[in-house]
Amino acid sequence: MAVGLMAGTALPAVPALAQEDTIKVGILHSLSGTMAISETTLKDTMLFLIDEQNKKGGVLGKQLEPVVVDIASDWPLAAELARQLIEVDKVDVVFGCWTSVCRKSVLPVFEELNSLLFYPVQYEGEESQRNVFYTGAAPNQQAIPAVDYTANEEGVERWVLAGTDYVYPQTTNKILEQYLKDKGVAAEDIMINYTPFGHSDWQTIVSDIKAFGSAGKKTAVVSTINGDANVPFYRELGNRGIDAADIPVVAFSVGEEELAGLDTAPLVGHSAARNYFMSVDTPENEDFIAARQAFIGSTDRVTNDPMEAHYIGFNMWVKAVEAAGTTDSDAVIDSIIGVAVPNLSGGLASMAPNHHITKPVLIGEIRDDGQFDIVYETPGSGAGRRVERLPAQNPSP
Amino acid sequence: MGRRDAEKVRVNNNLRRVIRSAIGQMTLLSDNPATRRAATQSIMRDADPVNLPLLDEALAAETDPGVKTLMQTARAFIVLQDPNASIEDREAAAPVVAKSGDRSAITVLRGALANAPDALKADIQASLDGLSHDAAARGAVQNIWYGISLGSVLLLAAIGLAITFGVMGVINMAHGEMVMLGAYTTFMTQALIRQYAPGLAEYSLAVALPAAFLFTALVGIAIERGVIRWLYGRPLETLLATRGISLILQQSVRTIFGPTNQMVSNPSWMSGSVAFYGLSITRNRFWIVMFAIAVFLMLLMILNRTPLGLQMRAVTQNRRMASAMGIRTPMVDALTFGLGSGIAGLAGVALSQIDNVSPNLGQGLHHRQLHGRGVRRGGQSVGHAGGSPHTRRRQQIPRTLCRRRARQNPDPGHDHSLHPAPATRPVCPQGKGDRAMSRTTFCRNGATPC
Repeated sequence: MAVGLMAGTALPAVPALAQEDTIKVGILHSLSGTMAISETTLKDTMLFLIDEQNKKGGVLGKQLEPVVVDIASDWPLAAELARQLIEVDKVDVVFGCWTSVCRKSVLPVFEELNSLLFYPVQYEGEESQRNVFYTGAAPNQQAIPAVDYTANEEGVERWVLAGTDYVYPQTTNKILEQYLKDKGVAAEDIMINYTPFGHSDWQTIVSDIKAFGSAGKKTAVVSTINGDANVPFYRELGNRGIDAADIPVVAFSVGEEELAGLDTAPLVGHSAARNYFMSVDTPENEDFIAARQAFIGSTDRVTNDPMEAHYIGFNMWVKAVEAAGTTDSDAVIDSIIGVAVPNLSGGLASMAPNHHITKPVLIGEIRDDGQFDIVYETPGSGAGRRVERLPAQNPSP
Repeated sequence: MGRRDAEKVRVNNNLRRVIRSAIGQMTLLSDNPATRRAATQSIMRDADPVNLPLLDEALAAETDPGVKTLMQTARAFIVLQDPNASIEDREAAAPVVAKSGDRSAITVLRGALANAPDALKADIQASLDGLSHDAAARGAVQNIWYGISLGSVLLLAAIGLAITFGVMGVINMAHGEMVMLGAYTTFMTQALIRQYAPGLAEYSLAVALPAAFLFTALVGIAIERGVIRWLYGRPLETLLATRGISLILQQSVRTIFGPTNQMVSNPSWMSGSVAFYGLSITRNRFWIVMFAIAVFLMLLMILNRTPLGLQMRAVTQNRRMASAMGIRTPMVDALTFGLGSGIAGLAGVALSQIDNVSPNLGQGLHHRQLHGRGVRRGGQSVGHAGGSPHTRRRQQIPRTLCRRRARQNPDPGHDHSLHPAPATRPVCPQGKGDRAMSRTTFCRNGATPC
């Protein structure tokens, strides 16, 4: 805090900012490299949201001006660009990052320069930082309800936890492993497997899963496989005839975008746990999809969960800024707590004091057109809560 | 009444299982043997004893021997899992289940073992032991198959690289992007066929193969003529320039098609898997192994049996002599680069069937194949295997690179070699560039006229 103020006063250009007639919004996403597949559409969504807000007259009577940078899937570069956005471009708020490693890399910058980051993707929890607002799901808003649903509805007794080898899957699987053991699942009924980013040869792993599933107990796969690796994984599952009715796969990082490059007919019935699906049937969602598709000029692009998170985060920020009457970080951090805005699934999302938001948990089953059929929805609002550290006998890395 | 007033019927997996079984019951007496086979399989998966009388009826009427065996297996599956069946029936069923020999047999036998009365346990255990023994052997064979199939994908992707590297000494960092362009050509071909000739969708790959080969070969020739030919003999500069080209190609594709995956569908003869003596072999991988072998043989034939191959070999062995004999070496270079790129395009068609078709496709391959030591070792072995018998005997690729280095750096003081001096000094008999080369790890072969 003190450091942030000092850094702020050390910059002579800061007072001049107040006289400018636009409010600058930083967009910090990968537009090239391995994460571009997921993040480019988020940049488009932000540009769309800013454009919509400007049509409504902007914020505090000023127009919003997007400043887009490309972090090129390079995390140290993300930290540099975050600094550039805040110090050189003088943005008032930043929307960005996808992977946890990106968020961890830029965190010290936001802390030091006392700026705001809205982070739109589900993550592993165990974090609550003053300058960051987490508009994606924490594990208790996604992973645990999904496992409960699968255990109850499908009668699953044996679990494969398959993930990409980095911080989010590792931590989530650790939480899930403990959770399953607490529920009485034996250690030999849990198989954990990690693969690198972009893994494409799934033959051995899929046959291991098949073998693990032939022990006479109902088996399910909980997948935290991220990004590109999903398409070859599902393709291998489909080709090997692993049907959702036999070994269902519940994924946390798969949405409409990831399925876009895939013939989903063999995957019907495998599911994903998210907080939003494009197939959510509400007037808000219908309007959002139509307006966004008109903005990007294409009707066959899909919307997904992190886009909704940006939608919610952006609207919360607008509301908090208007309530505070200023874009100053400290004022916004104070005024945003408790702010509630409509989400796209027909409820309200509100910002909790721990900087996480309330979300419904939806479980969708893959349809043959690449969309999801929502088969389960949490009854409550699904308050976000920081997941506490794991028990001592199972320390985090 | 509005759309949202009606309650939607939600199909989940439980319902789906019931539907699958019901469809099985209804189609079990169909006239078509394939339908009966599918029906039997779905009934077998559910193993509901309610279906037994129906299955018996179908079994009595069955004429097709294949379907009949399957029905008998299905019957055994159901009986074994039915706690109300008599012990004799279950005893008779265990070996039939074991004989079917796939994974689900182990599942069912294990399940049955847990619930069986003591009288049955020994029988089931015996069946299970036999099956587990077979399963271990099959697992080993299956692993070998996975190795072959992974190897064939890498071979396809690297073989074109080996040609340009072997013949021209150019490390083409844009090779992965050629593979990507091949995959995007497949996507475009499929999109066009779907729009203008939907009936041909099954054969889209047959159209995509020549299209991808031609397109990537032309791009390759353009790159060679436009950039690489100015940089011959400067391996580091070539490396940098082709890396730049790879980034340009990647970003152009991202700009034109967008960053997301494009959908390339598998034709039906490439989807699913076949059971082969208890091994499960996925069709797409199988055809890619076959395709890799075919491309490999074709390349061997081009190198050994065509005028272009002859000229390529001549240029490889002695560029100046070949030039003196009237071979237009620049044209051979361009065509060689075109051939290497074209084969990368073919690899792209194959990879589009198993991997993502996204701008990152090529980059992923770089990481797997180009970086690190695999370049030299892999490149060499593939180059040797793919080259003529002559090149196979000699250290062809390093030699070409050495020669270029030697030409470039006659003065050892200006050697830009990346590699530290080896402990023992290799013999490189023809004096020119001798010391410069000795500082590379290449040129170990004393007989090589560098």
